[in-house]
Order: sequence, then structure tokens, then C-alpha cells
Amino acid sequence: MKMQSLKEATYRAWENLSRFNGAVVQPQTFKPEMRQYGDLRYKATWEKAYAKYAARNIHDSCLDAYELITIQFNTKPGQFEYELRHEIFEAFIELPDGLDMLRDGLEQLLGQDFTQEKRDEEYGIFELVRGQAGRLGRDTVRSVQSFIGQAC
Amino acid sequence: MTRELFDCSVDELYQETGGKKNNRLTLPKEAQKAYIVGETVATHDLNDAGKFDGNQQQVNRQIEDTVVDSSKKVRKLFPW
Repeated sequence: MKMQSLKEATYRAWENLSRFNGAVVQPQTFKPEMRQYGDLRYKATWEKAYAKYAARNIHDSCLDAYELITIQFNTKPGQFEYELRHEIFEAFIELPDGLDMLRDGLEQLLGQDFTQEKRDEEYGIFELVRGQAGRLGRDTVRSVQSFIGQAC
Repeated sequence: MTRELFDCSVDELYQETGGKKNNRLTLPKEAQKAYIVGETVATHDLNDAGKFDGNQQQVNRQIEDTVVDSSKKVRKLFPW
């Protein structure tokens, strides 16, 4: 992912978050806000910032929890978000009700009238959680797996 | 789409209507209808627009702008 694309995506995610929440977008506050994630010369800073805003956008724009499973955390290679899927997932589960929303999503997918094909899309999140091993602490991965498992 | 259809956030929509968060089936029927119409019109408008040019960021922006325009059109069909 090129730095310029990452910066543009971060700006868009930041702008969208303001829009969703009915706030006036003030472009001059963008860079000062980004500095809380680190030195703006480093790509890691922008990756962290992008993941935080992408996660908040997913959270704040969520109308149906099952879409977290079938769409938002079921990204595919080639999609912009795919490359940072683990960072976005980690930022999402750090949100106070992030895990509850994921569990609601699985419950909806399994409990409502969905096609088997649609239900199969839940494997995306299982892969994502499995891929978290080695990134988050082992206990955190276990607690995420167990929490999500309660819905299945 | 929620901002354009209802002039509030998703969270506020659930709170104000007494729905259970993260499940649109718990929203009032009129709100559910507005989403159905909004999503149908947006899909139609996106199909009409054809393939967008540019990198993924530019394509995403054009898709988002199209959905915003579709939602604004749909809002006029509802009494609020």
C-alpha cells in the first residue's frame, strides 16, 4: 500500500466519521488529530490511524450486525482494507461494544432466515480470528474465540 | 445513507425509535421501508453509472457520492 493512498484513505475515513455523526468537517484539524498516532513521517502511524478510523466507521455506520460478518470483516485480497484487516479488527474489538456487535452478527446470521451461501461467509471472520494468533496475546485470542464461539 | 435519509446517526436512529441496536428488523416499518427504497435506488444508480475510473480510493469516493445522492432523492419520497 502506497503512503499517498494510505493518507488519502485515512483522510476519507476521518471525514466520513465526522459526516456520519453530523459533525462539521474541519480539514485543519486533520493533521493535529493524526499526530496522536505518532510521527506523520512514518507509514506505521498512518496505518494505525487508518485502522482506528476505519473501525469507528464500521462501528458507527452498522445498521445490521450480520453485515460485520458477511461484509466488513470478510474482505478479500485486492480490496484496500484487506491489507490492514488485522489492524482494523484489533481496533474494532477495542471499542467498548465491539465484541458484543460481532456476537450479535453471528447470532443473526445463524438465527435468521439466510441462505447457506450467505452463512458460509462467516468463515471470513473465523480466518481473521485465527490469523490474530501471534499478533494479540494468546489469552486475548482465546477470549475472542470463546466469546464469538458462544454465538455459534 | 442513514444521515441523508433520517438526518441522524445510526445510533441516534435506534435510540430515538426504541429499536434494538444492530438489527434493522427492530426499527419502525417506515424506517425499514426507507432503507429498502434507498438501497434499491442506490443499486440502480450504481448500475446506471457503470464502471468508475481511477484507483480504489477514487472509485470508493465515487460510489459513496452516488449513494449519498440516491439517498437524498429517496428522502423526498417520505413524509419526514
